[in-house]
Amino acid sequence: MRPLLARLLALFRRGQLDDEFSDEMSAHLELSTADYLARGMSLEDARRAARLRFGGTLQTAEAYRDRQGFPLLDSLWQDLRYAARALRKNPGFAAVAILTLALGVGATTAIFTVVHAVLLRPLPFPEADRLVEVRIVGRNAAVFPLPDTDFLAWRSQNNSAEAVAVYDSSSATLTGDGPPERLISSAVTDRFFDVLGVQPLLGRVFHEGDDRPGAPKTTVLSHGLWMRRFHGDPAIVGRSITVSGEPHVVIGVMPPAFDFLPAKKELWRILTMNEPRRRGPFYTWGIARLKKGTTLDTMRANLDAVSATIKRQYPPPGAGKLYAIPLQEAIVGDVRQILYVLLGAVGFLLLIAAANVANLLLARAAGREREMAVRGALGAGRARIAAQLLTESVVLAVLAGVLGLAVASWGTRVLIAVAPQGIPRLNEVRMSTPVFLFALATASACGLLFGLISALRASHVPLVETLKEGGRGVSGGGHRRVQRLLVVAEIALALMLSTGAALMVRSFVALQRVNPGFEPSHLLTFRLSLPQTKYQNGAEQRDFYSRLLQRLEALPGVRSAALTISVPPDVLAMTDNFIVEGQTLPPNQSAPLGPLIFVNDTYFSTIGAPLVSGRFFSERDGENAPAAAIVNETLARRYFPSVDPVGRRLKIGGPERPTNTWMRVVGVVGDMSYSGLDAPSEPAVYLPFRQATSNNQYVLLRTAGDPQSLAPAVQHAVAELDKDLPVASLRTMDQLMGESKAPPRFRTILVSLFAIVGLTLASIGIYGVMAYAVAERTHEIGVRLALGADRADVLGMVLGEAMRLAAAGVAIGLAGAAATTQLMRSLLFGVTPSDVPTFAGIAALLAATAFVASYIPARRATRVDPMVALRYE
Amino acid sequence: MPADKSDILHGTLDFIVLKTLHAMGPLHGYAIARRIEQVSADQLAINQGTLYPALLKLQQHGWISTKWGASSTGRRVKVYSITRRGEQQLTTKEAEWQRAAGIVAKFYKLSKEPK
Repeated sequence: MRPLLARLLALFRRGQLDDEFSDEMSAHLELSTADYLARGMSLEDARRAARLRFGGTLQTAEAYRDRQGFPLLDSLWQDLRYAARALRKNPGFAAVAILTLALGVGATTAIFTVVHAVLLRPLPFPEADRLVEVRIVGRNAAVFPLPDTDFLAWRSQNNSAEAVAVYDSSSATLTGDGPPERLISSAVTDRFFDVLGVQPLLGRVFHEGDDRPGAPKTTVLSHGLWMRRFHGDPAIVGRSITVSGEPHVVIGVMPPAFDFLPAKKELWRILTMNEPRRRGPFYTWGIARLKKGTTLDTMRANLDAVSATIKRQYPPPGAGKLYAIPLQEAIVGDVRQILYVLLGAVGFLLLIAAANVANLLLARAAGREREMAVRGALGAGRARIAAQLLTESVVLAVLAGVLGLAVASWGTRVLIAVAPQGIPRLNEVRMSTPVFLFALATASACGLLFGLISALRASHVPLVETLKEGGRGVSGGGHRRVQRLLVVAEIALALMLSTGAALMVRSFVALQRVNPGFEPSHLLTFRLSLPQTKYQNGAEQRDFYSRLLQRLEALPGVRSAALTISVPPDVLAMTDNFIVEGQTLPPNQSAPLGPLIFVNDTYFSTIGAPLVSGRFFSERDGENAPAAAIVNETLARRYFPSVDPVGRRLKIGGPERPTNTWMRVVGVVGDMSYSGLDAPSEPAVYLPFRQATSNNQYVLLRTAGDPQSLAPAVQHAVAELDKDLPVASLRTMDQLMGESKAPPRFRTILVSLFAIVGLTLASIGIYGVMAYAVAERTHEIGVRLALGADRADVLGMVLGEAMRLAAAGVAIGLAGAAATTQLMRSLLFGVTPSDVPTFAGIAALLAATAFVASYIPARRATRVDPMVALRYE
Repeated sequence: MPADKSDILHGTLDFIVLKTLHAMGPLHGYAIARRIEQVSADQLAINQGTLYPALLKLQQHGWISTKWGASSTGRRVKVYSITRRGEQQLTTKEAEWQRAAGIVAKFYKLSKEPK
């Protein structure tokens, strides 16, 4: 213990101790010399004798130093200082290598930070791995919410979960205590909070039985709402507040960190279910906490049994059966694939960057072969030389790692800022220990790899030959082969990355070219939800909306106003089955499904959808007039092949709803998408507002000028009619279209950015290797020229070599791309993953890049002066 | 053979140095070297330099201490003296040494006895 401590302490006063020892040694020699002098020796002899008696001062000093400190640490310290000096001496090389690697590590870490927070970290609930989502899965793996029938049957027959619950995503209007406000809320059944395993900050959460019919209406507030609306008043618990026109007793407030995705909720209401009369509507999502030790498969078997009883009670065609998946998977959803594609793309970038740095190091190592040979000749062991080279590349990598973390921290912030809506858990993204470890591990892995490559190379340097050669390294085929392999790898990687990016760009261009089926400019939309307590029936609701439209149309700058329950390109409120008269369903097959949209007379003219045949809705389609419907072109084409649907009949619902009335088709309109611009067109049925009313409506305004400027006037017009009615989701159509394209734009830009950087790095790599090869072969080229070789031959020789490498890289890259692009199939639109023109184009691009990058060194080769090259010998 | 001499020295140099300082009081490095050479009648003809790493080791163990002083010629030198811990170590080592030497001596006798 004591010696170790003494050695550690000595580390801090190295210089002083060294001086002291050399002083002690000279004292010893002086005293010894004096003794010999006293014996009658001459001064010179006495000195020599003293030295002989003492032994080698250098060896003694070395032994003393070893004893004083830690020999291994010492040589490491020496290597570190040497590495720092070597890097400083060659700042250009150091900067390029560190920056390249930092870019790769930083970009990869930034994406990893997001992947870690969104995909890898468990959900913020206790024992989150036991949480599952229960949904209905129908034909073609289509996913639906649950109807009450299924939930009630599930709850009564559950034997695999500790607690089960369903929730919906209805919004709620809060009135009283200030201006009316529309809240993102959720109606949930009694055990909702028990499933998640969370406790309230104040009061209590819902108890078992709170949701039985007849129980008082209760609500739980989010921390944010409590602070904002009720100023954090603890007396709120027990008070009654008006939610969507009904009094609710506040029973609790949740802690600030509680959030249930995907949307941040502000209020939870108790969801009361009455005995359902039919299997529908489908509107809730199930969650459950598995019993300890119960597997997902057990639960699925349980759910299959439940689905079987439902099937007996509500015979087919019924949509799908209950199915459970891990909650985390359900929340993350499609984002998983996008993030993994991004991580893959940035991984390619990192590999290209690493290959580039490895190339740089190899070129540098080749230039230092003589230095290594000299060191070897002076007695440095191979292990010692290897250790030194390893230290150099690790120093490089660690510097790059630190810089990479800075890049990552900045990049993560940019990512979050520009990320489109709808990526769950993005608020949980932060630089955490796993992220630091990831960056460090990535950088160190690169450093060790480079170090090993150059260290292995250096330990094979033949000492004598290298020294004999004079200044010129003999650098045999070894490092050239490795360098060439690296170039081939870089080209292959860059090709794979660019192909992926090109496919995404083509998808995005295709998306831009999609005809939405209407005129998106100069449209303003907003949403109103009339409380059913105040507007109790269809007539009152219609009356309100008619008066509102009159007022809005009277506003200066408004050309026309319209009502709808669904808005293109993304808002689809309702989907239902329909049957065309005369059509017979094959047994065990449910009726076709499509958007069902209630619109008023002016909807199609306001939004600018073309009339294909028949007429739009009008006053003729009144409340007591014969039921009318308008269908879109897809429905007409698919279900009325070769006949004009106008005048024919269809009805909503499958055979399980035989009492639904037949409706006569009065017109056919062009297709508009309500499920995203990239969704395939679906058969849609439109019903007239007077015959099918909803209290929830979107209002659409066609304006003469900038639609945004009308926002205050719109708010004012609504408030004049009902001061308790909040205007929600006020957006221009241009904004809606932009938001719809934001996710594909985001990932396209990101992957393209990676591809451009990757391509640039790869071309720098090719240039570097070819330039180096030419420099190395200056002498040989000089000889060739002196012997009468044509300059064109020399050009051809260098270019030919580069193009052979490029061809190998392109071939490998094409094969790799064909495999990897399949993984991004679902992200593509309007282009297949193995699109031949894209592959050909990118292959040509890579070949051209390689050509340009090697042309400059090739030109330089032709300008070699044979005299200069030969005289060099 | 010189190698044998230094081999002997290797295991016992610590002991010899401590014993010297114990007997002679504080000494500088050269004086210690000379003293050892004299006592061993110049039989331990190893390089004097090897003494210094050994001195450093003893110092790290806390068995000897150093301070700067002056030689008889007035030269500034580092003076070594044995510490209390060093004295204890010496006692322990001495006992061990005696015991080991006794055992070796017995074996030596054994081998001389006829079968």
